[in-house]
Amino acid sequence: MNEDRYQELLEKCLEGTLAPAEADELHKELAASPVRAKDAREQLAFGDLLSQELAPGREFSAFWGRLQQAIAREGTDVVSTGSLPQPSTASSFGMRLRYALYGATTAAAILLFFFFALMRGPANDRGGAGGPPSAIAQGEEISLKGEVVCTHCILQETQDCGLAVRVTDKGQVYYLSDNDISREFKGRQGCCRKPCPVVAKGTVQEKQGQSVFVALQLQPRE
Amino acid sequence: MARMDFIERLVHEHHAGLRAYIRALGILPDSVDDLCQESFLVAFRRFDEFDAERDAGNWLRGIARNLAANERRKQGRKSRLMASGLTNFFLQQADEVLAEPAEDWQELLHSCLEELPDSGRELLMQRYGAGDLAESMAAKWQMRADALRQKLFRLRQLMKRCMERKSGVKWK
Repeated sequence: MNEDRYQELLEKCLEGTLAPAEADELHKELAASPVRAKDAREQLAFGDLLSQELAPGREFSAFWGRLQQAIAREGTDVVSTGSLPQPSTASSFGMRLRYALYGATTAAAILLFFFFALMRGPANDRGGAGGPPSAIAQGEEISLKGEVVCTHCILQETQDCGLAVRVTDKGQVYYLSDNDISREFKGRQGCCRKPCPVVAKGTVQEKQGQSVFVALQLQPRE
Repeated sequence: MARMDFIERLVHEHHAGLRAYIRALGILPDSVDDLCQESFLVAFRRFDEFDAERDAGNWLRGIARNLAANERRKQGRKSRLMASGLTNFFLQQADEVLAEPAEDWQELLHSCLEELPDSGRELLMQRYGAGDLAESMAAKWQMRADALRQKLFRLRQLMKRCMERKSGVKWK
C-alpha cells in the first residue's frame, strides 16, 4: 500500500467513516506492517488529545461533572447493597449532600419542565411544521426547519451518539430514524456535536412516546 | 483517602491519557467518553481493591482494556467498535501502549499550534474543534476530500513531532 492510500484510510479510520472493504484493507496493512500498526495507534491517541483540547465539552471539568453525576446515581446502589466499604464520615456526609443536591436539582428541573410545558400549550409543539406532533397524521410528509443535533453530545439524552432534528424556534425534538438518509448525513457531517442547520423533509412516527422522524431529505442550509 | 477524593485525583491525573489510550484500543470517537466514564466508575466501585503501591495509570488502563474487550461480546454495543476486526487488532496490541502523554501536554500542544501556518491551524480547529469531517470540509477548502485527509494526516505528524521536540520525550 502506498503512503497516500495509507494516510487516506487512516484518516477515515480516525473519522469513523471507513467502509467495510476499506476497513479490511487497512486491517490487512496494519497486520503486515508493525511500523504502520504502531503509527496508527499513535495517530488514534494523538487525534483524541487534539479533540480533548480543541473541542468544547471534552475538557477535564466537563468530564468530571458528568462523572460526578454518574457516581451520584450509582452511589445509592453502592450504599444500599453494602458491597463496598463506606467512605469516611466526612466523605459520606459530603456524598449524601451531593446526592441531595443532585436530587433536588433534578426534581426542580422536572417541575420546571412540566410548568413550562403547561404554559406553552400544545400549539407550539410542532415547531416549523405548525401544530402538535399528535396532530400530524402518521406517514404524512412534512417539512421542518431546524438543526440536526447529537442526542448524546448536545441533548445528553442517550448513552451513544445519535441524531435528532431540533426545530430551532420551538425547541421540539424529532429523533431521526436509522435509514440511508440519516446515515449518509452522519457520514458527511459527523455526529453533530455542533448543531447543523437543515431543512428536513420526511414523515413522523410515534414510537414509545417519542416523535421519530423518518427522513426523506436532510438539506443543510446556510 | 476518601473514595471521592481518590477518584477526583485519578480523573485529574489520568483522564487525558486514558481517553487517548481508549481511542487507541479501536473504540470509535463518539464512544470514547462513555468508556472512559465507565472505567472511572469501575475504579470507584473497586476503590477498596486498589493497592497504593501500584501504578494507578496502569490499573485504569487495565480496567479500560477489559471493558473494551467486553464490548466485543455485547451485540448491541458493536457500534462502539471499529469495523472489520480492527478493534480486535488494536486490543491485541494494547499492552504495548502504556505510556501517557507528558504532564504539560496541553501547553506543548498550544505552543505547537501557534507555530503552524494559519491555514493549518484553522484546518485542525475545524476538524477537531468543530468535529467536521473531511467530506464536509472539502467543499469549503476547495480541495478533494482525499487530499484534505492527507493534509490533516501531515499536520498531525507535524504537531506530534513539534511536541516531542519541545518536551524532549517521545510520546506514544
